Amino acid sequence: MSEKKLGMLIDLSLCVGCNACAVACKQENEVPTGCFNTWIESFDVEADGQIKRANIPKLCNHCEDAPCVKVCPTQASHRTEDGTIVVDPERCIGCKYCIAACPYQVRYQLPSGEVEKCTFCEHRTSKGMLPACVGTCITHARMFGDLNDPESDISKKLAASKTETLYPDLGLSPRVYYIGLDDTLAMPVASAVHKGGNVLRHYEG
Amino acid sequence: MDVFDPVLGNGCCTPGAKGITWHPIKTATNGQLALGMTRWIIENKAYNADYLGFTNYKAAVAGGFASYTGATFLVIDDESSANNGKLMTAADAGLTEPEADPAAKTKPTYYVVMDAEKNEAALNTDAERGLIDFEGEVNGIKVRSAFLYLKDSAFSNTMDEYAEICGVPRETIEDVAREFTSHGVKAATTGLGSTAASNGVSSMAAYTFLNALIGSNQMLGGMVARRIGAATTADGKRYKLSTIAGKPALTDAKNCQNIGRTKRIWKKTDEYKNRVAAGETDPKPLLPWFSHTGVSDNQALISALCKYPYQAKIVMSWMTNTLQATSGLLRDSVLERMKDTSIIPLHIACDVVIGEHAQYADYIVPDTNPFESFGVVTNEGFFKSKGNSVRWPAKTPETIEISGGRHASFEAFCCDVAKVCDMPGFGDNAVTDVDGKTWPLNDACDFFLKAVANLAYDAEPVVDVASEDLKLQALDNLPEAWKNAVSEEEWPKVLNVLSRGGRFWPMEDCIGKNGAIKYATDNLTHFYSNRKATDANPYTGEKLSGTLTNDPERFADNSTLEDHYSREEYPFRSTNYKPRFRSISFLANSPIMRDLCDHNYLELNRDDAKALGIKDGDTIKITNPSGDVMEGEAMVRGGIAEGTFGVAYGYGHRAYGAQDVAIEGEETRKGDPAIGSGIHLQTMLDPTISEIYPLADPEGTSPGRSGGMYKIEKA
Repeated sequence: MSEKKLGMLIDLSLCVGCNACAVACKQENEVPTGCFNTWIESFDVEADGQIKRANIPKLCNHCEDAPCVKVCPTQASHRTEDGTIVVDPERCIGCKYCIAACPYQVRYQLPSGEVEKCTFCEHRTSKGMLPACVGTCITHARMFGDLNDPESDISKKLAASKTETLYPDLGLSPRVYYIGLDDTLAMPVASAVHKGGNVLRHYEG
Repeated sequence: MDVFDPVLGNGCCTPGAKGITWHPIKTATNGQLALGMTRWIIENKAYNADYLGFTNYKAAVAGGFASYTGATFLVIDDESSANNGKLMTAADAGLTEPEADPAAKTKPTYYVVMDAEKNEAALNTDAERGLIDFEGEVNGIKVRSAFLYLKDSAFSNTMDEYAEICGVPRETIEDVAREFTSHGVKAATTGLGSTAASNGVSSMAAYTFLNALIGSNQMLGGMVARRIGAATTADGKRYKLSTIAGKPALTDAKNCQNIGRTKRIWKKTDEYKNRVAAGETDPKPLLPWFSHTGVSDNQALISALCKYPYQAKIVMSWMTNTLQATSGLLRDSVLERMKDTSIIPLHIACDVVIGEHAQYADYIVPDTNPFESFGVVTNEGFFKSKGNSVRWPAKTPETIEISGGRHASFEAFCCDVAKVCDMPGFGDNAVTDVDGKTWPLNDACDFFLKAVANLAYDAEPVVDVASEDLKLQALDNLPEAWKNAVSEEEWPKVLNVLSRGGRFWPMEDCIGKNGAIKYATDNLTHFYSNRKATDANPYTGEKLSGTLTNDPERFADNSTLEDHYSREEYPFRSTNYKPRFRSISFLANSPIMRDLCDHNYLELNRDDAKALGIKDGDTIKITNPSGDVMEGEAMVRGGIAEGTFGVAYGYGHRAYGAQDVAIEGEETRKGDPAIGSGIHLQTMLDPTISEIYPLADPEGTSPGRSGGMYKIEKA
């Protein structure tokens, strides 16, 4: 069997925007106030004359061609054996190149200087557990596993579903897949976009 | 699936979820929507006529159902009868009731029906089927089937009028009614609690009537029973926890009156009788009375503040923030009364936080939090299986240690105060087990672990705890006081239940015979309520309807809001809903919740906002006719009905950590203003009541947090 390649699949039809994932992540990873390793963007959309409310969970996409790794001058941002992108705090000099390079805007700097982001809960997954956000999801909207193992739940669901990624045009080969993403993003927005419950972008209507 | 809600919530109707439609119904019109559906169902004979014809539980069960209705019960519609407007009794009909079973604790109630087979009046227990559309005479008295009263009510408006009232297209109401009646008994409508509008009582009744029209009560796939569990904190298999020797026998029905003015008809109060005896004609109460609702926390607090119907000389508040949770009460005039010792001489609060309500207490007794306390509860929600969950202390309480190795808590406080006051049921020999042996009650574990033992022994007793669980969960290291709270034989079974966080019977156990749920009990849905029909509004004397009616929002004297204020000036209603990032009164103290959502919004429909010149993110001002002003950030969206504004509960705290707290012998603890961020909905006061009385349901007591009258301006 080839080496492990961890990834996540999020079924937007199942996400109810409860934000339990965001809470579990903050508790598990002791994410500082004002920062999020994962969050949900919620907004009203119009679809065939009806209003619906969309929820899109976001997190580090652990790109195969990760720009953050490329721009890091100290190799603090690096790829582990299973493909997870992590930051070595010992080597991070806080230059913030990675923050600027990440198109998904998932990185933030701690007051002490180091940069942090989602680690796919490496400290859990390396012991066979699920990432905190996946384990706590009340609707099983998030699925996690080895993309290289055709027998894994995530591989089977990927093979059986039409999936998309965020910003595919950038060619970064992100490893967070979505079901229903393109359909949702094609719908006209009918409210502010909220990150959790805070306004990310006001509604221009 | 169809979602009728003035505000589109997260998760109920997402782009990817197929076949779910959100309908932006006008606020406070649920009852009218149900009546519109009912009209269509009756007009198209889409109701289950077979089911509605059954006159008693036994007959309905034999016919393949698990409940019955009072659709066939006859109602007296004859002004010459002393019992006009009431359900006909055997005596009215000249029939004889069976002799009462001397051993039975409760006497059965008999109703009169028109036997469908014999075409003559009979007791509902003697006939199997009755007529639901009988109009005629029985024993010389004019009567009508109860079903006809619902029909009259449903036909009081046209489908187009219902569409106009609810802001929902006529076709939608018809489609939903058709869909609801197209699946036999496998459909259900329901709502939890009151619907928190001043006409909310009709919304609650609506759910019940719709289920009754299709016979889905207690059927698999239909409306299942709620909270099915074992007898735990009651008289159970091991301990008689609700039998207390020497307990005063006090009930609202007989010899006491709860302070919230519920469960009694105004004309049957001592006050009414005394005032009439003193020569008054048609006296009016200071505050409304509610005959057909249970106890009400918000009404109890209003009573205490008004010293009516009697003064609350001691207020004991445990784990409650009624002041904050009752929209319309958090105002300066109320807070002055909370502080006034001539109104509330002694107020003791017991809580883990100092909330809006608790901060006016004379004493605050420290309490344990959910990780430090016991709890034994039945499964919440509409869940068709049987079970009880158990919470037990996961850590040593942070509160001070008191006598007997205990920690300060509400339970310890109750036990100690009760012992000083020599109350029965506490201290030595307080609890009796099924073998007659008595046990002490001095702390929470003495009570709750006995409830756990009752659970462990319900039906078939559970097996003893496994040694692996003992080690894995450190159950071999629990306090000695816990072990001593139950017998040696019970302890390993109690541990088994603790190790599982409760006891949950297999889901497949819920499957009963003929499509019914196994836990079905004798279940009757009345189509005509004697309790309602024999009551009247205490201010106008207007009789209440025995069935579901099309009620607009009303003040205490049944007058409409528009009778007092201009709808043109105050065109908006409020929709006050449960938030994702707070609870009704909790969670503002959680840094993670505040991080996820700093404050709530005043949510406005796009077209309303455009007409008012308001943009998303603007600061806006909302005013009610009492002059209360709320200012906050506008959230302009498609996902809210026109003519309303949405605002989530749980924000706009004045206390709960937002305030500075002075503690005797310590430095003042600084409050965190972030805890108080956002807007607390302020509902208007009822102008027909001379006292401080926020808009509330004149029949159902609940605060009128949704509905009301407001004007909105750009600040």
